Amino acid sequence: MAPNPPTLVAPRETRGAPRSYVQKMSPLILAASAIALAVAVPLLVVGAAWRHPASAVWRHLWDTQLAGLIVNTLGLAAAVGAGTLVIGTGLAWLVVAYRFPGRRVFEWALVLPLAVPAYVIGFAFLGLLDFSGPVQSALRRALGDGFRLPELRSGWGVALVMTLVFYPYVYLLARSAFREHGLATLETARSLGHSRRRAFFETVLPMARPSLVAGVSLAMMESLADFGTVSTFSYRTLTEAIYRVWNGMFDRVAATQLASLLLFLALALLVLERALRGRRRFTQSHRRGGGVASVRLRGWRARVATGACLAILVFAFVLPVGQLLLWAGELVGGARVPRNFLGLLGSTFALAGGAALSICVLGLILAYAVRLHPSPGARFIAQFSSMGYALPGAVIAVGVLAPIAWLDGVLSDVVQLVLGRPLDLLLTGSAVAVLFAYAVRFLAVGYQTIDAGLARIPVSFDEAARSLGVRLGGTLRRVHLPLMRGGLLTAAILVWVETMKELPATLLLRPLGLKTLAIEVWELTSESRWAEAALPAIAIVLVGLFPLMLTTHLTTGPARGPE
Amino acid sequence: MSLVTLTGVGKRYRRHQALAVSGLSFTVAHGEILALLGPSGCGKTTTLRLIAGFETPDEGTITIGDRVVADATRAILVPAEERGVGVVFQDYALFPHLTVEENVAFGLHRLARPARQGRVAEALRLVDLDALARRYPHELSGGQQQRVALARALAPAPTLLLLDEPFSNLDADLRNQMREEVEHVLRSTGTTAIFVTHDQEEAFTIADRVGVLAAGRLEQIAVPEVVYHQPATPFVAGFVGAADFLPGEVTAGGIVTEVGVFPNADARPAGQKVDVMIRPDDVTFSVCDDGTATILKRSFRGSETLYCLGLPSGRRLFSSQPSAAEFTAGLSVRVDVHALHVVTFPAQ
Repeated sequence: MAPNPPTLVAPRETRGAPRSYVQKMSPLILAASAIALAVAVPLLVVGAAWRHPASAVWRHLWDTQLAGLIVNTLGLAAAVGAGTLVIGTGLAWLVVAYRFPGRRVFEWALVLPLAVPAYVIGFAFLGLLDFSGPVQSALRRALGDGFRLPELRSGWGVALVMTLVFYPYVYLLARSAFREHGLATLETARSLGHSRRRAFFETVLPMARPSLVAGVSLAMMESLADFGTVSTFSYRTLTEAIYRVWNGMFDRVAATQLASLLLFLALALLVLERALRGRRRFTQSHRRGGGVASVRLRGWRARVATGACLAILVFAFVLPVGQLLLWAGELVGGARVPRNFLGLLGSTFALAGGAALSICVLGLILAYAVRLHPSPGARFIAQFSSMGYALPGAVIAVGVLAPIAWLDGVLSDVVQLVLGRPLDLLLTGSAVAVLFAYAVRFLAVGYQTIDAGLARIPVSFDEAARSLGVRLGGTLRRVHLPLMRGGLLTAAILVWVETMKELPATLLLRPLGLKTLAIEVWELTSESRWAEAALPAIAIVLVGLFPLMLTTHLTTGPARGPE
Repeated sequence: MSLVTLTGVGKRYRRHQALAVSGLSFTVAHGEILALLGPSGCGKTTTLRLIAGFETPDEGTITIGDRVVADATRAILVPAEERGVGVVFQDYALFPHLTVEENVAFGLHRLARPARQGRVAEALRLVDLDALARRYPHELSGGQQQRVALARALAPAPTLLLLDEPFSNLDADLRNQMREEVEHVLRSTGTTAIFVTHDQEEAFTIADRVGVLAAGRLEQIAVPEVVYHQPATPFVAGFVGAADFLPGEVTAGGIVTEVGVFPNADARPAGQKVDVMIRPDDVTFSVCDDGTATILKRSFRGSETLYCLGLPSGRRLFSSQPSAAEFTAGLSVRVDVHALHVVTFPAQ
């Protein structure tokens, strides 16, 4: 290279006036703020519901059902919380601290129920235990005609089903907490003279508390947000009441006020979670569980451990999914697959695909805004935009409709002004409303996955690109996108699957005549047509297994105790 | 003629927080290699980032060539991508999804393809990596990665090259070799360079001049010999080499200390109390029974041995001696100090 080669990157004249220090608001931050605002709108709409005077419907509800609705909703959340805490924590400790036949399989298989939406497991059980179903028929044959099982369509039935479906949240978080510090702590405590049992209750469990609280509150959030199961089981909760008041009585004000109650409960749960998690941050030594041996169980203890894991797995996954497969098999074997099934798949995939695409773009904007302007403000905007994940779909749907209708009004006015005639409702009842609701609900999933991918790229890469004369767009295209392809794909798949399972928001906002797999399942099960519902349900389960496979090899793999 | 000029540059990372660097003023001449030396947190990397354009100064101006690239009062800021400044990062920041030649070509996007290929080949030849052009960064050793980083930064022929602790990720053997290689490349291309290091030996061997930073301020900037022998402040004296300070008093006959009288080179007024800087290589001693000093401790260092001597006042003085001779601790000795440059600072 010659001593003074013609230089390529400089000095180029700065175009126009010198750049100002007081830079114009960065367009990225502006875009991120707009996203946060859009997420806030449905919340504000629901929160502002009380400006309207209580309507007659509301008064009627108040007089007759409201107390019951709230008690039902809270009772269900509490029961699910307690159930998932016991089952999730117990199973996690079993697979981390002990060795018994089948442990390695259970370790990942116990996550499987997460792939199945609660309303699917729910109706599978209803079908199984129906008066005319296989179980009751068999029992009647064995025990005589007078035999009756206790009614599953009850609060306990719903709580049982939800516990079976949502315990993996606690299981997953507890398992990684136990793996990270559980065994090492146990060893330390025992070296200080504690018995195994005492060490577990006095050190391991308290240290895992933040994880346990997070897992339980996730399960409780899901139970608050659930619509499909409670409506299939005819158990009256707030989500179900919102739907009834909205669709049955066409009273949007009362529905919004009910939604605000649910919103309040969800936010209270969020606050409670933060408080319980505590100021304490438990980060343990980098000593991972690796070097500490788990205990081999023998004899009846080993059989009990294997039996417990197997029982949960059978009830939460094998039995219901097996029943679904049987039903679906009969349908396919009898060539009774509904003709619209392919169309149903197509419209579901397309809607979910649209959601995945738009949410990934929004998530990328948020993640980028935080990366390029790492200020507390930018971080707050991103955090705020992810808040929708804690909100039940029914609440979001109710909150989305009003702004969409308002926008329609504005559009119509503009068209009237320009063309001289009004416009039909353009957005209301269109896919835009559903996509908006999906974005509010699932932006967190997309943003956090993309952000995690982006965070793995050192900032020095950005600076290297800049010092080589490459601008922002070039850096995104030539460095960031190629490096985070995997993260983007994961985000898209996660969002795609989540939206496909979503029921209440889709149900409330869908364009007339649009059906998704979830809606088809719900409609068929509300008419007790179990066998027909099995086919779309199996499709949902298969799709749901996808992200599970994607994530399990990340969460199991390492730190397995020595075998 | 200077290529880079900093005038009164200051930077604070948070409002109401102390300045990370302040009052920085220095120039770098065309073709010069400047080392910024200092302990961690002294602001040397911040200075580099200010020049590169990754940070915005809160005070002062920065000029590269004849262009003001940052001026806090006139609100001028040329973005990093338009400054024509190459950077070699501490972690090299090689793009893992690109091959060696794609990495080197990254900054040549404004060239047509044939010219680009020519320039890439030239840059790779310069760092002796032509054989590995198709490899990916993770398939290279640490030294090879560093060479790619250098080639990539040099390929667009920047007017100025910045190197942030370029050798800190290499082990000792490789570090010496890479120092030589990098210096050779910089000299042969006539590249003006500023590099940051906390290793004074590294600064002394490569740089034409060394700037010593402490707590965000430039303590001294001079050729290595002056920095070592005539440090401007006690901090510089201690940072660029081991130094002890003995109290002394200025008299008509020189500066009187307990180990002898030194010439009053700085022409300080009589009666002033001063501290005299004494480096271990300036101190010799001879064993003698009526010596007033004692050998307190002997530390073997390989080519030299470091002795800690206790003076009558209770102060300690270090002396480095060739390893050939060996004296045991406890011996009484007489201390001789032969300082070529007598450096004094007003007593604290």
